[in-house]
Amino acid sequence: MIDATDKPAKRRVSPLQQAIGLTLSLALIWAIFGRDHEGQTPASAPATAAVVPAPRVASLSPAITDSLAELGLAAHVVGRSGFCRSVPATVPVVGDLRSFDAERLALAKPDVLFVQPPIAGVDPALRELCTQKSIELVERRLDTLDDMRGLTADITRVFGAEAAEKLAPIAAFLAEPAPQTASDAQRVVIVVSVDPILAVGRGNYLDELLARAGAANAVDAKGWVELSVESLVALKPARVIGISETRARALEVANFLEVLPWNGAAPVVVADALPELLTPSLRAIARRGEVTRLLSAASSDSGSSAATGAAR
Amino acid sequence: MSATSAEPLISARNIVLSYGAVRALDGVSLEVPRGAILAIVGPNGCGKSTLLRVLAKLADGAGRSGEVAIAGEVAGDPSSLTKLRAFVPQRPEVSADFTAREVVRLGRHAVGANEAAVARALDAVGLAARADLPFHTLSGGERQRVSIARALAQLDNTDTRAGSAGVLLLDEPFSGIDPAEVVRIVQALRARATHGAVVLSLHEPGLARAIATHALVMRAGKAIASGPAATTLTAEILTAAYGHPMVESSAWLVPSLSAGGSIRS
Amino acid sequence: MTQRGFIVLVFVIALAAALRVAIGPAAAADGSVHLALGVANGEILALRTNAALSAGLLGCVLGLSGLALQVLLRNPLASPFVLGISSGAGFGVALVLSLAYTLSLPAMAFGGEVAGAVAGALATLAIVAWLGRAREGSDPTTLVLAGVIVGAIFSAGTMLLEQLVPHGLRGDLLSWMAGRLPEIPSRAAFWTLACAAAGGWITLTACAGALDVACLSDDEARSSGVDVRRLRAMLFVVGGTLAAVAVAYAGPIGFVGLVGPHIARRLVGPRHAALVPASALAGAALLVGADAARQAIDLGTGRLPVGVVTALAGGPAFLWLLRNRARSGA
Repeated sequence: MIDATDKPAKRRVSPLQQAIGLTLSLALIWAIFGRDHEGQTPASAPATAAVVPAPRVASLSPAITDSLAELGLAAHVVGRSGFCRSVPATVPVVGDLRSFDAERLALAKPDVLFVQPPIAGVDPALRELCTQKSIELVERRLDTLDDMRGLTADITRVFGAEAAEKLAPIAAFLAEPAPQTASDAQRVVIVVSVDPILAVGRGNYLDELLARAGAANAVDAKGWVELSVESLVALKPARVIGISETRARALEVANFLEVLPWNGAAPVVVADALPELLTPSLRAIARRGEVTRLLSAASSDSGSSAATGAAR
Repeated sequence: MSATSAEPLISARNIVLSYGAVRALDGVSLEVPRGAILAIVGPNGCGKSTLLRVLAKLADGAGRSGEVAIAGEVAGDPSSLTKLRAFVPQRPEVSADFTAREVVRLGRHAVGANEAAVARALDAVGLAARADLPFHTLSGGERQRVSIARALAQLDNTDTRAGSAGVLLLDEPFSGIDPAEVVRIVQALRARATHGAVVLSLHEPGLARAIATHALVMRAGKAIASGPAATTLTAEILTAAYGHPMVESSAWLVPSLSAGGSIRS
Repeated sequence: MTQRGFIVLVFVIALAAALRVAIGPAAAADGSVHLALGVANGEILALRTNAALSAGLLGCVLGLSGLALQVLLRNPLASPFVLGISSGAGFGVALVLSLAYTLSLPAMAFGGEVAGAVAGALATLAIVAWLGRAREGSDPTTLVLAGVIVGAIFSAGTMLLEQLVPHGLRGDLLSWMAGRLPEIPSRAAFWTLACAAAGGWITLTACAGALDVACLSDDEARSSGVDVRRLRAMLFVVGGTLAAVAVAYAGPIGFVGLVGPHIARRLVGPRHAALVPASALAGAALLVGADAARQAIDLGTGRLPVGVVTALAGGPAFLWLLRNRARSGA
């Protein structure tokens, strides 16, 4: 049932449209084939492309990559997630927290793959691929200090003596038993952002760091908690600590908190840019001193001393 | 049971149709004999369109009673029904980019493809030359004619029990149509009536008098008069129907329907 | 014209598939990874061919679903997800995940994300069908409204469920909504997709004539012998089921089901005997093309999600189609 009649008044493609189409096609071809990717040109292959020390490791979790970089193990990383900024951008991206690039992962030839499993569990196809390519799959959730302890055990197992030195102080800290919170411990709220106020609740690594540093988390609820202004005021904290990604945000947080209706019971407000504390990584553990510092810092507008950790 | 030439093609007995509390049709009965052009006339809201749809067996409503027999059968099977009647609505709609010819071809969907029937139908409405233009580019009158052609093509069969005696039902086919096209349509209707019958609703009675052989005058859901057109479409009856004095007049102009007029389509 | 249209479609699919198979990462001598032309070994060939094939099948499913819903709703802007299916499926996924988290059970205990997506999509279809029922079969406007409202309710429900899960994990509930084309589909998933595509194709082709007639007004269609109510029910079931399968397989991937049938119409005309296969092929061409494109585009943060590419390409394509529609006055 082919209709043999032509539709009347067919549109013709004008020369201009043809030229545009041709240019776009050529541009596309050049984009694909005309240049090398991943920032490499044949003439200047960087030194990192040379020998990667064993074991070769890939990580689909920015937090775990941060941890490896903190321990000086970045040279082992042959595959990263798109958001892993603590290893050079030349390291190929092989996936992210929730999906993976089968070909690039296989090409990277890692011996071990670190993942932070999502609630749905690790993708069975990824598990299958790792089995096929003889890649050891290490799954590690990173919510609490217990999880961090597990991570240090994983890293020790994978890297052996090389990691031991840098790992020792962190492992030692993590091995300490959780202290009893003194009844007169300073009541503190840690705030991560404002409007709405997002505060650190119980049962995560920041809460535990706070406890280890000798303070009491004024927030009772589990997880990360959204507080209304009134509930924050009602908690009557002695101190509110703001932790932000950037100085500007820290300033915003401090300003916001200071003008809340504290009714005379205004807490000490300190805020600082400490992005490394915001990811649950061993780097955060390494920087735990900042928490201690903030617990005794004087209230000030900018809220930071000159010696902040993390200029990036 | 085959329909003989004497039996009416459509007969309706005591049709009652309610929408909730409102009675759209209140006990209407009629018969459409073979060869008839039956005009249903009446004011707005009297139930003309509703009656047409009931006659075409297109109105399934819970609040319906009464019987409609087409070619003698009340509950025919759907496939034979398509050969016995075809319906043309007041405003045809086509939501795809078909040509006029393709739209007419759609009428053959249930009765079997037949290019000759399609061509005849297009000829009958005078659109043979413009058949391959997109439907959307046609004027309102041309679209109406395409829809009529579709229905004509559907009824163009010689293998039914009653020959190609299908009934064409049209809802206000002349509203907004130019005189030349009115004439074309009337010619097509007359051609159909020679084999089967035509039932159409009309809003104004002048045209009905010119073309109809039979008439049914309605008011508020009831049939107040029916029979041959000449005796039914009188000033008296129409005044009763419209609730406004109607008079015989020679002041109105109607399209000339004489066969000798030449019409460009 | 129809024949030429099909040739164009098949050519584009072949080209896109060839690009998908031929282009990919390869290791250079110094160990670095580049995009390169060529297939290193049989295993890579199998991987890429499989990926292209499943993208093609998914594209078919989306194209057919989009066509069915556009005809059902008499609305050229209808897409496979216009009935709220993506929100419903997203809610199902969120429900499974938040239950898994709160009860400390693995997600697989509830059938995993797929079960949640399927249950959510089917529930949405049932609710919308029930809301949209009317005397003479489902009324298009009511269906669309029902879909919008049900979709909004499910979206709100998903946001509510987010509160049950700690902040860091909320992304898990929502990441499903971005759509993800599995690179290595499981056998079960692949064959379900293939059966859905085949089933949809066959069913819609079988009533292609009736679909043509359904482009007339309801009364004309019924007078011509088409059971409009049954046809609408069939379109709802076919379109909805195909959309549910697509959404369970890869999450919501936009534009393919919306733009595919329009491209098909431009290429092969309005008759459904040609439009049904052409919509399937157009959907396949779009999705395989998008998959091939995202292999080639490297922004340094990994492959783009396929939904982003289809939207970036589909959006302008749709605008172009709209402009041409306006110009030709159709």
